[in-house]
Amino acid sequence: MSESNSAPFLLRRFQSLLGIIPVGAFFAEHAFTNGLAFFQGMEHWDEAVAFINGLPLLLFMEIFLIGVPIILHALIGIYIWIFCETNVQHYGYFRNWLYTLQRWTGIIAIVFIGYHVYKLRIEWHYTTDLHIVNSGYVAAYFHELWHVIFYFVGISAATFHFANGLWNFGVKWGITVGERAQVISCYICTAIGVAVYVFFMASLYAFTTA
Amino acid sequence: MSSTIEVHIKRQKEAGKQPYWEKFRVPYQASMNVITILQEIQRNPVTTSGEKVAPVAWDCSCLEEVCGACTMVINGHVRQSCSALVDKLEQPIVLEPMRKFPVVRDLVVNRQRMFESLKKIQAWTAIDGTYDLGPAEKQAPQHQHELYLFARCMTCGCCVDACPQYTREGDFVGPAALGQAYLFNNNKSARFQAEERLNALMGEGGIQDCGNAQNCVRVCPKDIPLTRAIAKLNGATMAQFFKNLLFK
Repeated sequence: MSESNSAPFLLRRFQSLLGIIPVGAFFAEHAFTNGLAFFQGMEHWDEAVAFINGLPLLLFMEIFLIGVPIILHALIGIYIWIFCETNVQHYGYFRNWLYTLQRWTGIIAIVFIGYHVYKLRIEWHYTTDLHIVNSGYVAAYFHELWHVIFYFVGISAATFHFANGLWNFGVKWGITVGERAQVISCYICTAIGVAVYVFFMASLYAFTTA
Repeated sequence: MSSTIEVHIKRQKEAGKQPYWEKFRVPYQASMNVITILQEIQRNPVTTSGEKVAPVAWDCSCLEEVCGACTMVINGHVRQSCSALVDKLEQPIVLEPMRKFPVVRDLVVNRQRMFESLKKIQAWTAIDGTYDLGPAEKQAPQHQHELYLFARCMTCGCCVDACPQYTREGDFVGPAALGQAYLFNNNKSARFQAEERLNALMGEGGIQDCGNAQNCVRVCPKDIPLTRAIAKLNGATMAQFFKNLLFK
């Protein structure tokens, strides 16, 4: 046997890991913070945003713990997506649908996250005098109906991708091996996905009606 | 049941030629399978428009679903044509060659790539030596039963044909070879090459190409628990990766 080359393996497992840590972890945290807008009120959301903005090395963390990992996860993901031939038209099995949706929701999430970061993280630095984004600014942003629709689709896709990715992670790292374990982990990942979705949707509702 | 059966067949004169469709109508008999349909067409190769054509070429051997030679796509699903009973099929019956392999002629495909995949993962027991290696270690019946599930693989190619990650242009070894890697890595005599198999599975076309669509386990005619083997190998390759990283 010739010298083994484990680079392809490493690349894919790296992509899988990035999706959970830090991207997935941040995604869940983001849902929790945003949910405050609905569950505790706008002033609590503004406090939470102020707290996050007071963290040391924030820009460094945003770039290297969130931005770069998302971009790498997306780029390797697109590379994976190019070489597959989805076939739900022939084999409409549940897992095959999830496999196919994982690819489509990934693409939707890339577009959504790119636009979202530009609009609600970058743009106001240059167009307003704000030091920290506030709930009033976000509420005004959601006065446009198509923004709400775009966020509804984007959040739905990203949350599915997150929850199904969590399930995939269990299999890819050899944790959920047996059929029963994979069914139970599917329920658990669904529950986590629903929880995250409720938090995001509640915050979207809160900002839309504010 | 009508007294004739309509069959649509995707044909191809030879490798690399454009495929085309032809329709046939064959007399119905009780207990017919897809092989007997093809035999009827061979006997009287006349299309529904009355044109006499070259008989349809196909592969078959055992006729009891243990060799895998007659695998083809029947009504959109990959399966063995010997065990595809006409009474259980929707009509018209649509026959196509397997999707992931180069067509030799009509329904005959070249599955050489599956053999190459088995070679990549050393799907054998290395028993050749300059001296007698002696008998294999004893194994528990439970262990033997678990492994026997994987020994039933006939390399028919259903799993790779239904796998969205196994493409004509790609180099993924596919679920069948992964199942065999699991089988031989746990075989009492073949396990001595386990590390080499795991290292091979981390290279191009290795286990990382699995995308968990799990079609393989749904279409496998032998009900081989392929996804269980893949998940176990996922853990084993990860362990091997860290072993290589830290201990070598």
